Amino acid sequence: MPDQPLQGCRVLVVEDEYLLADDLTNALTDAGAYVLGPAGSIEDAAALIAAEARIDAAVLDVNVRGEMVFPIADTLRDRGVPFAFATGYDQWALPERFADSPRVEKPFKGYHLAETLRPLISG
Amino acid sequence: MADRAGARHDDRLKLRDENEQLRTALESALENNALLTDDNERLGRRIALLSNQLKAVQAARPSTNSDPVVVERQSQAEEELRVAFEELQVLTEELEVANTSLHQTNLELDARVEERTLQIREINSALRAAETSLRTIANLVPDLLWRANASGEADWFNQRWFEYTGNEPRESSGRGWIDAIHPLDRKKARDAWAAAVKSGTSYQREDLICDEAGNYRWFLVRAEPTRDEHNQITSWFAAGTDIHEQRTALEALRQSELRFRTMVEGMPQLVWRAIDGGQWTWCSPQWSAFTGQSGGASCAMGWLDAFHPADRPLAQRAWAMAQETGTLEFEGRILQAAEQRFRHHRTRALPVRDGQGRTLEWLGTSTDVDDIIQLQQHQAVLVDELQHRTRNLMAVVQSITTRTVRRSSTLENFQACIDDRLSALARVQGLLSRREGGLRVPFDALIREELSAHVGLEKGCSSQVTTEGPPGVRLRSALVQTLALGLHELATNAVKYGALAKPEGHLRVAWRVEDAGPQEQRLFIDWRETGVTDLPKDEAQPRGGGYGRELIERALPYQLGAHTSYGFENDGLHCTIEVNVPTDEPRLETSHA
Repeated sequence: MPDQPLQGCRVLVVEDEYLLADDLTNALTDAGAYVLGPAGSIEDAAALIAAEARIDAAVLDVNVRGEMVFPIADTLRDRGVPFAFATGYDQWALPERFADSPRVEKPFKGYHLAETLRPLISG
Repeated sequence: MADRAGARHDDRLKLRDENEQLRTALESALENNALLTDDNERLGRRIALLSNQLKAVQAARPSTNSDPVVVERQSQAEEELRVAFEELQVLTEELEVANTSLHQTNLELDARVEERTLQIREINSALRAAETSLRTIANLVPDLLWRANASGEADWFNQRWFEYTGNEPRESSGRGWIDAIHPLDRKKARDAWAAAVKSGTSYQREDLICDEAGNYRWFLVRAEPTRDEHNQITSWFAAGTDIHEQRTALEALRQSELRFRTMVEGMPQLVWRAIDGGQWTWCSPQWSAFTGQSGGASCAMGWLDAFHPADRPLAQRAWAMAQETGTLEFEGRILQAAEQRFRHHRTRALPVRDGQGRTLEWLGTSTDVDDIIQLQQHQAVLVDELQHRTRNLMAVVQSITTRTVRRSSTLENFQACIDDRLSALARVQGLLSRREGGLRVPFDALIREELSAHVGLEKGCSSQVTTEGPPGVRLRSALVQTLALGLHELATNAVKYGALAKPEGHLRVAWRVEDAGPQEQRLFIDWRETGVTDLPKDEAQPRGGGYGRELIERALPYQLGAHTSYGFENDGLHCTIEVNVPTDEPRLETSHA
């Protein structure tokens, strides 16, 4: 594993908990990624996606200020953007269409995050 | 029986008439006989007299009939005697004839008397036999029997009556038998009997009759009048039949049915009966009330219409299987007519079998499990939520630890700092978990709990601390943790470096709310420290490591859309936080809500 496996990747972070968003940002930055966001609400996330032409990957908290993140996930899937869920929920709590999506369980390790995202990103 | 008795009565009358005729005939024959005897005796006496006279005349005459006078007299006397003899002869003949006739009559009479006596004896014996068998039958039947005269006064009872009631004949006679009836019904029975006797119509009642031991048993009492040839009532015959077992069994059945119905109609389940194949024969009122389907409409396969179309095949399959397995069980949605909403029901039925194990019918219930299913779903959400929060909390702990490590110069310093922060986190978890009925945490409770961890407070104040603001401003749960951590850092810094580090310093925390749209209020928090002299020279190098400031300036706005300010006046820190708070109380707040 190279020191910066996500070198040059533009990664969207959606996470409402400030401390965790900050940690995710730090971990991704350490892995060489450029962080889009972090977005603390679904609304902010949607605005970010609309504004950004290039998103290589995304890390999504499942429950964002009481709203489920799934519409954002659907939008990303439509755009062909790979994503992972960062969640405390068990697999079964996710809708069936996301059953195969990778998850980063909280509390997470920075290197695990990079390991999970790297294979998703093409090229 | 009345006809036969009447016939016997007629026979007796005829016999009596005949006897009377015979007696008259005999008496007249005897009288005749006596007259003839008298005549005979009289003639006999006359003949004897004439004969004596004739002998005297013959003795007085000389040997020869010389005297013509004497001869004359003699012949005259002889003539008279001859006439008298002839007369006697006739009379005697008549007498003989009369005697013979009398004898004949007597013989005939004897024969007829004998014949009639025999007949009477036979009839009497038959009557006696009939009466005996009647009495035997009367005492043999289990019924209580009695007889009353035309005025309704009882004058005869069978043995069973006395055995059952334990009464003496004099107690029961007249209308005394009515006293054996239960006191509550006695008057009604007495009135009914009087009415029957008066109108001459049948009497019938069901009454409790007291036995010898004082126990009451149900009897059907019936009485009918008997009438003579002029249709006049001559007597009443009454019979009391013990119907206690039937009546109590019927009563028990009625009670049992009543209990069943009360139970069925009282229970929340929808109850129904069906025959094999799910053909309903009956449904409880609840079914009709719930589905709006009349009892008739639900019968046969009508009930299927109340089920959700998608669940109907399932219901039919369940019935097909029930024949083999002997139980019916399936879940399906039933339309609630009033709300036009389908509610989940668990439907179950068991067969009712006879002694030979043949299925007579099915007794089934449909139980509303909609609430349970919703609760189960809700519970799953809560469990899910709990897990989510726990994992999030662990992530927060991890994050705080990482930051504290990064900003600690020594292990001791780290130890003190992390203890403090974990305690603050624990306090806020306590506040969140102690919420009663899911109520939101009020700001006054949060601020006082946090300040109390650092300084002694009385009613939220001390010599160095003032808190001012309306109570009961309730915070979104998502806000509580971050706000508490921020306030904790502010309080820690105040104790270490600010207003609470020296006796001359003072901290005032004030808050107020303003309306901010529907179901929203804006909470303004003002944290002002005064009396602090040694303010930090360089704000870029905060003495608390800047963690508190980061939470206030970045975390609260990021996480909660709060507006915050953090800066120093000339005599201490001034920090403001504005954040929206809800005005409604959630029923049960979850982050899914």
